[in-house]
Amino acid sequence: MEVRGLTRSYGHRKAVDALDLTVRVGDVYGFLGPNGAGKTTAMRCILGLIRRDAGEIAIFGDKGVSARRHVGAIVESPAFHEWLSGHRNLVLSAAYAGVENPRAEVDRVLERVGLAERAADRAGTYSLGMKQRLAIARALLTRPRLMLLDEPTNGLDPRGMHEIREFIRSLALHDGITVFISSHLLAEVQQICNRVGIIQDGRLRAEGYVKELVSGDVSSLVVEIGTPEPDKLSTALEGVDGAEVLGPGESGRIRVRPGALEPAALNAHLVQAGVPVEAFVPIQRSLEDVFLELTQ
Amino acid sequence: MTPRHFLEIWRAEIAKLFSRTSARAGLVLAALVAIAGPLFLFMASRADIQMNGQSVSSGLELSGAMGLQWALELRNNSQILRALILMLVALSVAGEYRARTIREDLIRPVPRWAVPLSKWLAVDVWILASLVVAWVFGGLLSTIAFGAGGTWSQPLLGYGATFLTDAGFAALVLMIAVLSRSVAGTIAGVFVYLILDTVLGWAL
Repeated sequence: MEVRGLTRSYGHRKAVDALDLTVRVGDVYGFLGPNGAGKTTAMRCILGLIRRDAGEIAIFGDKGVSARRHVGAIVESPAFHEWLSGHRNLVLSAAYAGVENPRAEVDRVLERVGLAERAADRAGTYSLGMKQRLAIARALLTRPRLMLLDEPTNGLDPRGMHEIREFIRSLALHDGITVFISSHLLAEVQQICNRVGIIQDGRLRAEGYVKELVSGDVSSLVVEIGTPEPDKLSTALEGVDGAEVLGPGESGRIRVRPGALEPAALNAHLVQAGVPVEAFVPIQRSLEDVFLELTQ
Repeated sequence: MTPRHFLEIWRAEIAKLFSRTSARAGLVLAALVAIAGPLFLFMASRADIQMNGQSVSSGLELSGAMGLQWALELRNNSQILRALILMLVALSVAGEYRARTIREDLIRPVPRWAVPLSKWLAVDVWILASLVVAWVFGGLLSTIAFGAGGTWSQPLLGYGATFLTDAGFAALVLMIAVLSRSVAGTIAGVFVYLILDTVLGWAL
Protein backbone atom coordinates (compact mmCIF):
# COMPACT_ATOMS: atom_id res chain seq x y z
CA MET A 1 0.00 0.00 0.00
CA GLU A 2 1.38 3.36 -1.06
CA VAL A 3 -0.07 6.47 0.54
CA ARG A 4 1.25 9.75 -0.83
CA GLY A 5 0.43 13.25 0.38
CA LEU A 6 -2.77 12.19 2.13
CA THR A 7 -4.46 15.25 3.58
CA ARG A 8 -7.76 15.66 5.37
CA SER A 9 -8.91 18.77 7.22
CA TYR A 10 -11.80 19.44 9.57
CA GLY A 11 -12.38 23.16 9.26
CA HIS A 12 -9.00 24.84 9.64
CA ARG A 13 -7.47 21.91 11.50
CA LYS A 14 -5.49 19.41 9.45
CA ALA A 15 -6.23 16.00 10.95
CA VAL A 16 -3.94 14.33 8.42
CA ASP A 17 -1.29 16.46 6.77
CA ALA A 18 0.55 15.27 3.65
CA LEU A 19 0.95 11.77 5.06
CA ASP A 20 3.19 9.31 3.23
CA LEU A 21 3.12 5.62 4.13
CA THR A 22 4.68 2.61 2.46
CA VAL A 23 3.48 -0.83 3.48
CA ARG A 24 5.39 -3.60 1.72
CA VAL A 25 4.06 -7.02 0.76
CA GLY A 26 4.37 -9.36 3.76
CA ASP A 27 4.76 -6.57 6.30
CA VAL A 28 3.05 -6.56 9.66
CA TYR A 29 3.00 -2.79 9.89
CA GLY A 30 2.26 -0.94 13.11
CA PHE A 31 0.65 2.46 12.74
CA LEU A 32 1.34 4.39 15.92
CA GLY A 33 0.48 7.78 17.28
CA PRO A 34 -0.91 9.51 20.36
CA ASN A 35 -4.65 10.13 20.73
CA GLY A 36 -5.84 12.62 18.14
CA ALA A 37 -2.73 12.13 15.98
CA GLY A 38 -4.85 11.31 12.93
CA LYS A 39 -4.58 7.51 12.82
CA THR A 40 -8.28 6.74 12.55
CA THR A 41 -8.85 9.61 10.10
CA ALA A 42 -6.06 8.25 7.91
CA MET A 43 -7.52 4.73 8.07
CA ARG A 44 -10.98 6.05 7.24
CA CYS A 45 -9.56 7.86 4.22
CA ILE A 46 -7.73 4.72 3.10
CA LEU A 47 -10.99 2.74 3.37
CA GLY A 48 -13.03 5.40 1.58
CA LEU A 49 -15.26 6.01 4.61
CA ILE A 50 -14.46 9.73 4.42
CA ARG A 51 -13.26 11.84 1.53
CA ARG A 52 -9.68 13.04 1.44
CA ASP A 53 -8.79 16.60 0.53
CA ALA A 54 -5.65 15.58 -1.31
CA GLY A 55 -3.32 12.66 -1.86
CA GLU A 56 -3.14 9.31 -3.56
CA ILE A 57 -3.75 5.83 -2.18
CA ALA A 58 -2.73 2.77 -4.15
CA ILE A 59 -3.29 -0.77 -2.90
CA PHE A 60 -1.53 -3.47 -4.88
CA GLY A 61 -1.41 -0.94 -7.70
CA ASP A 62 -5.17 -0.26 -7.71
CA LYS A 63 -6.81 3.03 -6.79
CA GLY A 64 -10.33 4.10 -5.81
CA VAL A 65 -13.21 1.69 -5.14
CA SER A 66 -11.50 -1.20 -6.94
CA ALA A 67 -8.51 -0.98 -4.54
CA ARG A 68 -10.82 -1.98 -1.67
CA ARG A 69 -11.36 -5.44 -3.15
CA HIS A 70 -7.86 -6.31 -1.88
CA VAL A 71 -8.67 -5.15 1.64
CA GLY A 72 -10.26 -6.69 4.70
CA ALA A 73 -10.73 -4.28 7.57
CA ILE A 74 -11.81 -3.80 11.15
CA VAL A 75 -12.40 -0.15 11.95
CA GLU A 76 -12.84 0.71 15.63
CA SER A 77 -15.06 -1.69 17.58
CA PRO A 78 -16.79 -4.41 15.54
CA ALA A 79 -20.49 -3.84 14.81
CA PHE A 80 -23.03 -6.52 13.92
CA HIS A 81 -26.76 -6.92 13.50
CA GLU A 82 -27.23 -8.20 17.03
CA TRP A 83 -30.54 -9.97 16.37
CA LEU A 84 -29.05 -12.11 13.59
CA SER A 85 -26.77 -15.11 13.99
CA GLY A 86 -23.05 -14.81 13.39
CA HIS A 87 -23.47 -16.94 10.28
CA ARG A 88 -26.29 -14.76 8.93
CA ASN A 89 -24.28 -11.60 9.58
CA LEU A 90 -21.44 -12.96 7.48
CA VAL A 91 -23.77 -14.08 4.66
CA LEU A 92 -25.12 -10.52 4.45
CA SER A 93 -21.59 -9.11 4.43
CA ALA A 94 -20.59 -11.59 1.73
CA ALA A 95 -23.29 -10.14 -0.52
CA TYR A 96 -21.80 -6.67 -0.16
CA ALA A 97 -18.31 -8.01 -0.69
CA GLY A 98 -19.42 -9.73 -3.92
CA VAL A 99 -18.20 -13.11 -2.70
CA GLU A 100 -18.76 -16.04 -5.06
CA ASN A 101 -20.28 -19.04 -3.30
CA PRO A 102 -20.95 -17.11 -0.07
CA ARG A 103 -22.14 -19.98 2.14
CA ALA A 104 -19.00 -22.05 1.56
CA GLU A 105 -16.82 -18.99 2.16
CA VAL A 106 -18.70 -18.12 5.35
CA ASP A 107 -18.19 -21.67 6.63
CA ARG A 108 -14.49 -21.46 5.74
CA VAL A 109 -13.84 -18.21 7.63
CA LEU A 110 -15.90 -19.28 10.64
CA GLU A 111 -13.80 -22.43 10.83
CA ARG A 112 -10.63 -20.34 10.43
CA VAL A 113 -11.44 -18.14 13.45
CA GLY A 114 -12.80 -21.04 15.53
CA LEU A 115 -16.41 -19.86 15.66
CA ALA A 116 -18.06 -22.63 13.64
CA GLU A 117 -19.75 -24.13 16.70
CA ARG A 118 -21.30 -20.85 17.81
CA ALA A 119 -22.19 -19.67 14.28
CA ALA A 120 -25.91 -20.26 14.74
CA ASP A 121 -26.11 -18.16 17.92
CA ARG A 122 -27.26 -14.56 17.83
CA ALA A 123 -24.35 -12.13 17.49
CA GLY A 124 -25.78 -10.19 20.43
CA THR A 125 -24.91 -13.10 22.73
CA TYR A 126 -21.20 -13.14 21.75
CA SER A 127 -18.47 -11.95 24.10
CA LEU A 128 -16.26 -9.07 22.95
CA GLY A 129 -13.48 -11.52 22.06
CA MET A 130 -15.88 -13.60 19.96
CA LYS A 131 -17.16 -10.46 18.24
CA GLN A 132 -13.60 -9.51 17.42
CA ARG A 133 -13.01 -12.96 15.94
CA LEU A 134 -16.27 -12.68 14.00
CA ALA A 135 -15.07 -9.30 12.71
CA ILE A 136 -11.83 -10.91 11.56
CA ALA A 137 -13.87 -13.65 9.86
CA ARG A 138 -15.88 -10.95 8.09
CA ALA A 139 -12.69 -9.22 6.98
CA LEU A 140 -11.36 -12.54 5.65
CA LEU A 141 -14.45 -13.22 3.50
CA THR A 142 -12.94 -11.70 0.39
CA ARG A 143 -9.60 -13.51 0.82
CA PRO A 144 -7.90 -10.12 1.21
CA ARG A 145 -4.21 -9.51 0.51
CA LEU A 146 -4.15 -6.64 3.00
CA MET A 147 -5.79 -6.46 6.42
CA LEU A 148 -6.37 -3.09 8.07
CA LEU A 149 -6.97 -3.46 11.78
CA ASP A 150 -7.81 -0.49 13.98
CA GLU A 151 -7.02 -1.25 17.64
CA PRO A 152 -7.76 -4.97 17.20
CA THR A 153 -7.22 -5.88 20.87
CA ASN A 154 -9.05 -2.90 22.32
CA GLY A 155 -11.23 -3.87 25.29
CA LEU A 156 -10.15 -7.52 25.33
CA ASP A 157 -8.98 -9.39 28.42
CA PRO A 158 -5.37 -10.70 28.45
CA ARG A 159 -6.41 -14.09 27.05
CA GLY A 160 -8.44 -12.46 24.28
CA MET A 161 -5.55 -10.13 23.47
CA HIS A 162 -3.18 -13.06 23.27
CA GLU A 163 -5.55 -14.97 20.96
CA ILE A 164 -5.99 -12.06 18.58
CA ARG A 165 -2.25 -11.33 18.59
CA GLU A 166 -1.47 -14.95 17.73
CA PHE A 167 -4.13 -14.87 15.07
CA ILE A 168 -2.65 -11.76 13.45
CA ARG A 169 0.76 -13.45 13.45
CA SER A 170 -0.69 -16.51 11.76
CA LEU A 171 -2.44 -14.36 9.14
CA ALA A 172 0.91 -13.00 8.10
CA LEU A 173 2.86 -16.24 8.44
CA HIS A 174 0.42 -18.87 7.16
CA ASP A 175 -2.00 -16.92 4.98
CA GLY A 176 0.59 -14.55 3.51
CA ILE A 177 -1.59 -11.54 4.28
CA THR A 178 0.01 -8.12 4.68
CA VAL A 179 -1.25 -6.59 7.93
CA PHE A 180 -1.60 -2.93 8.87
CA ILE A 181 -2.39 -2.38 12.55
CA SER A 182 -3.22 0.80 14.35
CA SER A 183 -2.59 0.39 18.06
CA HIS A 184 -1.76 2.21 21.27
CA LEU A 185 -0.17 -0.89 22.77
CA LEU A 186 3.48 -0.34 21.93
CA ALA A 187 4.73 -3.54 23.54
CA GLU A 188 2.20 -5.45 21.47
CA VAL A 189 3.28 -3.70 18.27
CA GLN A 190 6.92 -4.42 19.08
CA GLN A 191 6.03 -8.09 19.50
CA ILE A 192 4.11 -8.61 16.29
CA CYS A 193 5.15 -5.90 13.80
CA ASN A 194 8.26 -5.84 11.66
CA ARG A 195 7.78 -2.24 10.50
CA VAL A 196 6.14 0.81 12.03
CA GLY A 197 5.08 4.31 11.10
CA ILE A 198 4.73 6.92 13.84
CA ILE A 199 2.33 9.77 13.27
CA GLN A 200 1.83 12.96 15.26
CA ASP A 201 -0.34 15.98 14.46
CA GLY A 202 -1.28 14.28 11.21
CA ARG A 203 2.31 14.04 9.97
CA LEU A 204 4.60 11.04 9.75
CA ARG A 205 7.43 11.39 12.27
CA ALA A 206 9.25 8.16 11.53
CA GLU A 207 8.85 5.04 9.46
CA GLY A 208 11.04 2.00 9.38
CA TYR A 209 11.87 -1.48 10.64
CA VAL A 210 11.26 -1.94 14.36
CA LYS A 211 14.76 -3.40 14.85
CA GLU A 212 16.40 -0.36 13.28
CA LEU A 213 14.30 2.11 15.24
CA VAL A 214 14.92 0.51 18.64
CA SER A 215 18.64 -0.06 18.07
CA GLY A 216 19.16 3.62 17.22
CA ASP A 217 22.73 5.05 16.99
CA VAL A 218 25.61 4.85 19.51
CA SER A 219 24.70 8.19 21.08
CA SER A 220 21.29 6.84 22.18
CA LEU A 221 22.74 3.71 23.83
CA VAL A 222 22.21 3.37 27.60
CA VAL A 223 24.11 1.03 29.94
CA GLU A 224 23.25 0.08 33.51
CA ILE A 225 26.29 -0.39 35.72
CA GLY A 226 26.34 -2.03 39.12
CA THR A 227 29.09 -0.76 41.43
CA PRO A 228 29.51 -0.22 45.19
CA GLU A 229 31.45 2.98 44.45
CA PRO A 230 29.27 5.30 42.40
CA ASP A 231 31.46 8.34 43.06
CA LYS A 232 34.41 6.61 41.40
CA LEU A 233 32.17 5.82 38.44
CA SER A 234 31.20 9.48 38.03
CA THR A 235 34.80 10.57 38.20
CA ALA A 236 35.85 7.96 35.64
CA LEU A 237 33.15 9.10 33.22
CA GLU A 238 34.22 12.76 33.39
CA GLY A 239 37.07 12.07 31.01
CA VAL A 240 34.89 10.40 28.36
CA ASP A 241 33.48 12.57 25.59
CA GLY A 242 29.65 12.66 25.73
CA ALA A 243 29.37 10.24 28.65
CA GLU A 244 27.03 11.07 31.52
CA VAL A 245 25.28 9.54 34.51
CA LEU A 246 21.54 9.50 33.89
CA GLY A 247 20.41 8.38 37.34
CA PRO A 248 19.32 5.21 39.13
CA GLY A 249 18.31 2.22 37.02
CA GLU A 250 16.96 -1.27 37.78
CA SER A 251 17.99 -3.14 40.97
CA GLY A 252 20.11 -0.28 42.36
CA ARG A 253 22.32 -0.05 39.25
CA ILE A 254 23.29 3.30 37.75
CA ARG A 255 22.07 4.28 34.32
CA VAL A 256 24.85 5.69 32.16
CA ARG A 257 25.09 7.07 28.63
CA PRO A 258 28.51 5.86 27.31
CA GLY A 259 28.92 8.75 24.87
CA ALA A 260 31.64 8.15 22.28
CA LEU A 261 32.66 4.74 23.66
CA GLU A 262 31.28 1.38 22.58
CA PRO A 263 30.02 -0.70 25.57
CA ALA A 264 33.09 -2.97 25.59
CA ALA A 265 35.47 0.02 25.50
CA LEU A 266 33.54 1.71 28.29
CA ASN A 267 33.81 -1.41 30.45
CA ALA A 268 37.58 -1.57 29.84
CA HIS A 269 37.90 2.15 30.64
CA LEU A 270 36.05 1.75 33.96
CA VAL A 271 38.15 -1.24 35.02
CA GLN A 272 41.31 0.65 34.07
CA ALA A 273 40.11 3.61 36.19
CA GLY A 274 39.71 1.29 39.17
CA VAL A 275 35.90 1.23 39.27
CA PRO A 276 34.73 -2.09 40.75
CA VAL A 277 32.15 -3.15 38.11
CA GLU A 278 29.75 -5.79 39.47
CA ALA A 279 27.23 -5.61 36.62
CA PHE A 280 27.30 -4.19 33.13
CA VAL A 281 23.96 -4.33 31.24
CA PRO A 282 23.46 -2.56 27.90
CA ILE A 283 19.81 -1.48 27.77
CA GLN A 284 18.03 -1.81 24.45
CA ARG A 285 15.53 0.94 23.80
CA SER A 286 11.95 -0.15 23.59
CA LEU A 287 9.52 1.01 20.94
CA GLU A 288 7.92 3.00 23.73
CA ASP A 289 11.18 4.95 24.23
CA VAL A 290 11.34 5.69 20.50
CA PHE A 291 7.67 6.65 20.45
CA LEU A 292 8.03 9.01 23.43
CA GLU A 293 11.13 10.63 21.97
CA LEU A 294 9.45 11.26 18.64
CA THR A 295 6.12 12.45 19.98
CA GLN A 296 7.30 14.68 22.85
CA MET B 1 -20.18 -2.83 -10.05
CA THR B 2 -22.04 -5.52 -11.99
CA PRO B 3 -25.87 -5.75 -12.05
CA ARG B 4 -25.53 -9.18 -10.45
CA HIS B 5 -23.55 -7.74 -7.52
CA PHE B 6 -26.19 -5.06 -7.03
CA LEU B 7 -28.94 -7.72 -7.07
CA GLU B 8 -27.02 -9.64 -4.36
CA ILE B 9 -26.85 -6.50 -2.22
CA TRP B 10 -30.55 -5.83 -2.77
CA ARG B 11 -31.37 -9.41 -1.81
CA ALA B 12 -29.27 -9.06 1.35
CA GLU B 13 -31.09 -5.85 2.29
CA ILE B 14 -34.47 -7.53 1.72
CA ALA B 15 -33.43 -10.47 3.93
CA LYS B 16 -32.16 -8.06 6.61
CA LEU B 17 -35.35 -5.98 6.54
CA PHE B 18 -37.70 -8.96 6.70
CA SER B 19 -35.71 -10.43 9.59
CA ARG B 20 -36.73 -7.43 11.72
CA THR B 21 -39.58 -8.12 14.12
CA SER B 22 -41.10 -4.73 13.29
CA ALA B 23 -41.25 -5.61 9.58
CA ARG B 24 -42.97 -8.93 10.27
CA ALA B 25 -45.36 -7.35 12.73
CA GLY B 26 -46.08 -4.71 10.08
CA LEU B 27 -47.21 -7.38 7.63
CA VAL B 28 -49.58 -8.80 10.27
CA LEU B 29 -50.87 -5.28 10.85
CA ALA B 30 -51.39 -4.79 7.10
CA ALA B 31 -53.47 -7.99 7.05
CA LEU B 32 -55.54 -6.86 10.07
CA VAL B 33 -56.23 -3.43 8.56
CA ALA B 34 -57.24 -5.14 5.31
CA ILE B 35 -59.63 -7.45 7.18
CA ALA B 36 -61.11 -4.46 9.02
CA GLY B 37 -62.06 -2.81 5.66
CA PRO B 38 -64.82 -5.24 4.62
CA LEU B 39 -65.94 -5.49 8.27
CA PHE B 40 -66.46 -1.72 8.41
CA LEU B 41 -68.32 -1.85 5.10
CA PHE B 42 -70.59 -4.54 6.51
CA MET B 43 -71.18 -2.59 9.73
CA ALA B 44 -71.85 0.62 7.79
CA SER B 45 -74.39 -1.14 5.61
CA ARG B 46 -76.23 -2.35 8.71
CA ALA B 47 -76.14 0.99 10.52
CA ASP B 48 -78.76 3.61 9.83
CA ILE B 49 -76.56 6.51 8.72
CA GLN B 50 -78.48 9.56 7.54
CA MET B 51 -77.02 12.46 5.54
CA ASN B 52 -79.23 15.39 4.41
CA GLY B 53 -82.27 13.32 5.29
CA GLN B 54 -81.24 10.44 3.05
CA SER B 55 -79.99 7.04 4.13
CA VAL B 56 -76.33 6.61 3.19
CA SER B 57 -76.22 3.02 4.31
CA SER B 58 -78.81 1.81 1.87
CA GLY B 59 -76.79 3.31 -1.04
CA LEU B 60 -73.63 1.37 -0.20
CA GLU B 61 -72.50 -1.15 -2.80
CA LEU B 62 -71.85 -4.47 -1.12
CA SER B 63 -69.39 -6.30 -3.34
CA GLY B 64 -66.01 -8.00 -3.08
CA ALA B 65 -64.32 -5.14 -4.96
CA MET B 66 -65.94 -2.50 -2.72
CA GLY B 67 -64.85 -4.35 0.44
CA LEU B 68 -61.28 -4.28 -0.84
CA GLN B 69 -61.63 -0.60 -1.68
CA TRP B 70 -62.71 0.07 1.90
CA ALA B 71 -59.67 -1.81 3.16
CA LEU B 72 -57.45 0.48 1.09
CA GLU B 73 -59.26 3.61 2.30
CA LEU B 74 -58.79 2.47 5.88
CA ARG B 75 -55.06 1.82 5.29
CA ASN B 76 -54.46 5.17 3.65
CA ASN B 77 -56.58 7.29 5.99
CA SER B 78 -55.33 5.74 9.21
CA GLN B 79 -51.65 6.40 8.18
CA ILE B 80 -50.67 3.48 10.39
CA LEU B 81 -48.78 1.65 7.65
CA ARG B 82 -47.08 4.89 6.62
CA ALA B 83 -45.87 5.34 10.19
CA LEU B 84 -44.41 1.84 9.95
CA ILE B 85 -42.66 2.69 6.68
CA LEU B 86 -41.16 5.72 8.42
CA MET B 87 -39.90 3.52 11.24
CA LEU B 88 -38.51 0.81 8.94
CA VAL B 89 -36.58 3.26 6.77
CA ALA B 90 -35.31 5.15 9.83
CA LEU B 91 -34.11 1.87 11.38
CA SER B 92 -32.51 0.51 8.24
CA VAL B 93 -30.59 3.72 7.43
CA ALA B 94 -30.22 5.98 10.49
CA GLY B 95 -30.39 2.97 12.84
CA GLU B 96 -27.46 1.41 11.00
CA TYR B 97 -25.47 4.63 11.28
CA ARG B 98 -26.15 4.61 15.02
CA ALA B 99 -25.19 0.93 15.35
CA ARG B 100 -22.22 1.55 12.99
CA THR B 101 -23.19 -1.53 10.96
CA ILE B 102 -23.50 0.55 7.77
CA ARG B 103 -19.77 1.29 8.01
CA GLU B 104 -19.06 -2.38 7.33
CA ASP B 105 -21.00 -2.14 4.06
CA LEU B 106 -19.40 1.15 3.03
CA ILE B 107 -15.85 -0.24 3.23
CA ARG B 108 -16.74 -2.91 0.68
CA PRO B 109 -15.87 -2.33 -2.97
CA VAL B 110 -19.30 -0.90 -3.84
CA PRO B 111 -20.17 2.60 -4.98
CA ARG B 112 -21.82 4.69 -2.26
CA TRP B 113 -25.11 5.13 -4.10
CA ALA B 114 -25.66 1.37 -4.11
CA VAL B 115 -26.12 1.25 -0.32
CA PRO B 116 -29.11 3.64 0.09
CA LEU B 117 -30.61 2.55 -3.23
CA SER B 118 -30.64 -1.11 -2.19
CA LYS B 119 -32.17 -0.16 1.16
CA TRP B 120 -34.90 1.88 -0.54
CA LEU B 121 -35.68 -0.94 -2.97
CA ALA B 122 -35.85 -3.37 -0.05
CA VAL B 123 -38.41 -1.15 1.68
CA ASP B 124 -40.31 -1.02 -1.63
CA VAL B 125 -40.46 -4.82 -1.59
CA TRP B 126 -41.87 -4.65 1.95
CA ILE B 127 -44.48 -2.09 0.82
CA LEU B 128 -45.42 -4.37 -2.08
CA ALA B 129 -45.61 -7.35 0.27
CA SER B 130 -47.87 -5.43 2.66
CA LEU B 131 -50.18 -4.53 -0.24
CA VAL B 132 -50.25 -8.12 -1.49
CA VAL B 133 -51.05 -9.33 2.03
CA ALA B 134 -53.80 -6.70 2.24
CA TRP B 135 -55.17 -7.68 -1.18
CA VAL B 136 -55.22 -11.39 -0.32
CA PHE B 137 -56.74 -11.09 3.19
CA GLY B 138 -59.03 -8.16 2.45
CA GLY B 139 -60.09 -9.57 -0.92
CA LEU B 140 -60.69 -13.05 0.48
CA LEU B 141 -62.85 -11.87 3.35
CA SER B 142 -64.66 -9.40 1.13
CA THR B 143 -65.40 -12.02 -1.52
CA ILE B 144 -66.65 -14.49 1.11
CA ALA B 145 -68.86 -11.82 2.71
CA PHE B 146 -70.18 -10.00 -0.36
CA GLY B 147 -69.42 -12.21 -3.38
CA ALA B 148 -66.97 -11.62 -6.21
CA GLY B 149 -68.96 -8.82 -7.83
CA GLY B 150 -68.04 -5.17 -8.41
CA THR B 151 -65.43 -3.34 -10.42
CA TRP B 152 -62.10 -4.89 -9.47
CA SER B 153 -60.05 -2.52 -11.62
CA GLN B 154 -60.80 0.31 -9.19
CA PRO B 155 -59.13 -1.24 -6.12
CA LEU B 156 -56.36 -2.54 -8.38
CA LEU B 157 -55.59 1.01 -9.51
CA GLY B 158 -55.92 2.22 -5.91
CA TYR B 159 -53.44 -0.37 -4.60
CA GLY B 160 -51.03 0.49 -7.45
CA ALA B 161 -51.27 4.21 -6.63
CA THR B 162 -50.73 3.46 -2.94
CA PHE B 163 -47.58 1.54 -3.81
CA LEU B 164 -46.22 4.50 -5.73
CA THR B 165 -47.06 7.09 -3.05
CA ASP B 166 -45.69 4.88 -0.25
CA ALA B 167 -42.50 4.27 -2.25
CA GLY B 168 -42.19 8.02 -2.76
CA PHE B 169 -42.72 8.59 0.95
CA ALA B 170 -40.03 5.99 1.71
CA ALA B 171 -37.63 7.84 -0.62
CA LEU B 172 -38.31 11.09 1.23
CA VAL B 173 -37.69 9.42 4.60
CA LEU B 174 -34.52 7.82 3.26
CA MET B 175 -33.12 11.17 2.16
CA ILE B 176 -33.82 12.70 5.57
CA ALA B 177 -32.32 9.62 7.29
CA VAL B 178 -29.12 9.84 5.22
CA LEU B 179 -28.78 13.51 6.15
CA SER B 180 -29.70 13.25 9.83
CA ARG B 181 -28.09 9.84 10.55
CA SER B 182 -30.30 9.54 13.61
CA VAL B 183 -33.61 7.73 14.10
CA ALA B 184 -35.09 10.53 16.21
CA GLY B 185 -33.78 13.14 13.76
CA THR B 186 -35.38 11.29 10.85
CA ILE B 187 -38.76 11.11 12.55
CA ALA B 188 -38.56 14.78 13.55
CA GLY B 189 -37.45 15.75 10.02
CA VAL B 190 -40.38 13.92 8.42
CA PHE B 191 -42.84 15.54 10.81
CA VAL B 192 -41.39 18.98 10.08
CA TYR B 193 -41.75 18.25 6.36
CA LEU B 194 -45.36 17.09 6.76
CA ILE B 195 -46.29 20.13 8.87
CA LEU B 196 -44.63 22.54 6.42
CA ASP B 197 -46.33 20.75 3.53
CA THR B 198 -49.75 21.16 5.20
CA VAL B 199 -49.17 24.80 6.22
CA LEU B 200 -47.87 25.76 2.77
CA GLY B 201 -50.79 23.85 1.23
CA TRP B 202 -53.24 26.07 3.18
CA ALA B 203 -51.29 29.26 2.53
CA LEU B 204 -50.98 28.74 -1.19
